Amino acid sequence: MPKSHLLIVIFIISASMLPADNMLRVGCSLSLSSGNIGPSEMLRNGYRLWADKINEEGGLLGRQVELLIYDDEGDPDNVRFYYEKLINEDGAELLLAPYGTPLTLTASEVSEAAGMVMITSGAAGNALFERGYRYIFGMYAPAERFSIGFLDICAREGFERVAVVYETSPFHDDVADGARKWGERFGMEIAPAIPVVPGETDLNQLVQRLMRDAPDALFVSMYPETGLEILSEIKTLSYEPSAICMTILPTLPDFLHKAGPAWGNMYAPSQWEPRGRIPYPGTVEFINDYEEAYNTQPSYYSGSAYASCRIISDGFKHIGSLNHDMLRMYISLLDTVTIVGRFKTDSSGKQIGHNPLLIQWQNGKKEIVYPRSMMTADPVFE
Amino acid sequence: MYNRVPWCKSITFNILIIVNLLVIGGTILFTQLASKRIIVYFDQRNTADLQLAATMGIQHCEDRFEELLHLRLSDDQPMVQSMRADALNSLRQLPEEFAFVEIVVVENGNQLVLSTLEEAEIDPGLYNLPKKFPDETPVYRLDNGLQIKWVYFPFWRWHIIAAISAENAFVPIAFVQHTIFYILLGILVVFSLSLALVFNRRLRRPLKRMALTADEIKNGRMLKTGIKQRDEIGIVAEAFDEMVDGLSGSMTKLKETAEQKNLLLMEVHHRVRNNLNVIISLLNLRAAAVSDNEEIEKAFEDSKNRIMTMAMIHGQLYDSGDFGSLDINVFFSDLTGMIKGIYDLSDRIKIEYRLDPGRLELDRAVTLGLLVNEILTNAFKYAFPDEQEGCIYISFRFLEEVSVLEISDNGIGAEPDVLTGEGGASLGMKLIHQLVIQLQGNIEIDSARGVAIKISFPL
Repeated sequence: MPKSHLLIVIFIISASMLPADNMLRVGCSLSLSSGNIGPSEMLRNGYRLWADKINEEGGLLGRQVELLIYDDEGDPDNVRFYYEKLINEDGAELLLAPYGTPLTLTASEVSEAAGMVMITSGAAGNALFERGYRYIFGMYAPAERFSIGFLDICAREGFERVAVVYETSPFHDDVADGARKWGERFGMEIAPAIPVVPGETDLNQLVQRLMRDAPDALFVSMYPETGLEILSEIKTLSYEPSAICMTILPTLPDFLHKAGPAWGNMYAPSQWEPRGRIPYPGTVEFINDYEEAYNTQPSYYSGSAYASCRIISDGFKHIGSLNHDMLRMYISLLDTVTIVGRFKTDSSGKQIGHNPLLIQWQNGKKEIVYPRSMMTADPVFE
Repeated sequence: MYNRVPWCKSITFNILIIVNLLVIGGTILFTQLASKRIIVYFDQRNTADLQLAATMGIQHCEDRFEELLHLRLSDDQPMVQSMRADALNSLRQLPEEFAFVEIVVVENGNQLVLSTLEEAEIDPGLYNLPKKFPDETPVYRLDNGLQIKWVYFPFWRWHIIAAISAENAFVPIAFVQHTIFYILLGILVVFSLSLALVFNRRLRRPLKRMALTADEIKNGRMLKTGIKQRDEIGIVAEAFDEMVDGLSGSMTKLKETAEQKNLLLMEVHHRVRNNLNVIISLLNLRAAAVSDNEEIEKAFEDSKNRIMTMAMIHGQLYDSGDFGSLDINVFFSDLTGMIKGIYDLSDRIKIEYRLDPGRLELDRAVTLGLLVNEILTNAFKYAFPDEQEGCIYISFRFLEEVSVLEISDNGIGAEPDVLTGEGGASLGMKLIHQLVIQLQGNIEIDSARGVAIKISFPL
């Protein structure tokens, strides 16, 4: 039995005044002590904020929400265990998603088997939507689109060659495939993507290879832990491509603190940014509430987590019951705008309404540099 | 007398010329400075237009691209082609938003897919452009003068090129330059005319009026300018008028004084003539007392004639009212008439004159009168004895520096020693020579045929 058997139960409201069996239990697992801790904490904050708000509003369908979050330590087995536990033992009537495509693949197997809707607020791999599941819906733009913004501005800058390095995982595989496809469409030469197996690939040699190839720009798709390692090697070897773009890690508010100020011009695909310029309904209120609650800015993980919960709670309110079949139908027909942007899915549940942004760290803060309609600053190249 | 000043020498005209030259110089300088500013302004405007057109051009493309992305249709080739055509259509209409901007789209660096330029303006430089516009220049200039700015849109591999032809780039500059030039020219003309009117009214007319008034004053009419202006001309005119007032008073006093002087002179001459007539009467009385002595009687007669001559001159002065000089003609006519009357020569001796017109000063007239009296008396007495008829010629001419009196007769002539004024000469001839000395003149006597006496004396 893993130590994560320790149940982390977070009571969003004081439920002592209500009968225990009247609570609406909502649960998930997140990698809070190992694995992708940063994004997981961001998801947790988003979920918490939603639960707080829904309870302040009088609960969901008249019932106060009790949020149950287990620490899966980034292990798919733990994910399976906790999601089954949530359904079978805890009486959870709604499941939220874990962080990352691999864990979400596992969690969604459980939810699909139980006939419970799951919105993937922490994953974007295509594999999630290629299994014929009916109860899973994507929140993020698909992984294959993560590189569009960076490659577009590189092509406009006149760059001819872009190197792609990716961590071997379903999500990053999709990102790398998308980079190759979009690079070609933008008329650039995309060298064969270089896979990185965490703990196995010699990152020092990989960076030296990149230095020999000397591409105009570098696109890296990795989870934060591996991402930090490769950045460290790049810095050690003083490799300085004209532009570097990396998934996930640079979108975290404490990126520069973790990676160091040397990466002050880093690009990153993002699903959303907490900028008042993004004119979605409820965005400003969410940012204010989040900053008040956690004393930090939200990331797109928090925004997506909150938005996915809102879609579900609004769905239940709309249909007037906790019927997941009806909720599935409701979401599959939905074409709306949440605090993080447009939400619309195709028949497989893949998100087709949302497009990623491209951010760049400039002067110690994140600026949106793509698309032009949302730009807060022009992209800067070395 | 007031003389009209030629325009070219007029102060007003010269001031106008200077002012206009300054204004023209200023205008040219301003135009030059303004031209530079204008060129910079329109260059910046053209650059801004090109930038805006390029930005709007790529915006049209981005809109279609984002639509394809949102609709997940970026792999749907018919839809992609439809969007491409739609984007090209929007780009084709883009020049309507600008005065001179044209749009060119080149695909893959070598394929012209759209151009709103004239065919002749399509420059080879539009092909194979770098994907990124050079940072160091606001616009790119091709060999044919085309100013261009471009953006690269990777999805369709388009160079979206905003272009302004060299000719069009300078159209507004030339228009503004011409407009400024004509406006300044118009201002210059209006300014010049206004200045000319002001000068004419405030300077030329009052000065002309003052000159005319001065002319009138010179002619004895004490007129005022009557100019009332609050400027320097007004001050001068006022001073001029005050001067006229002063002159007018002085003239009146002077006239009164002159009149008084004339009266006094008339009185003097009248009294001198009367006194001389008294003397003549006394001499007549004394001559009657010594009538038995022919020589004394003759001396009395000669003296009486001389005094009569002087009395006649004072009488002429009194009668003419001019107390300073005598008219030559009147002088000789009266004098010869008087002498001729004394000797009762009727028409036996004719006198012929050749006299230059002019006037004789009083002091010269008396001396000259005595001279003529002596010469004529001698001629009457001695030149034509025995009731001979003859002729006496009197000539008086004003030459450059001297006056010349010539009296000659066609009589019997005289011994030269009688005429010298020395030794055995008569009293009359001695007197003649004394009077010539008094006149500071010269005397020439020719007695070859009659007697001819020529006396010249300084004017």
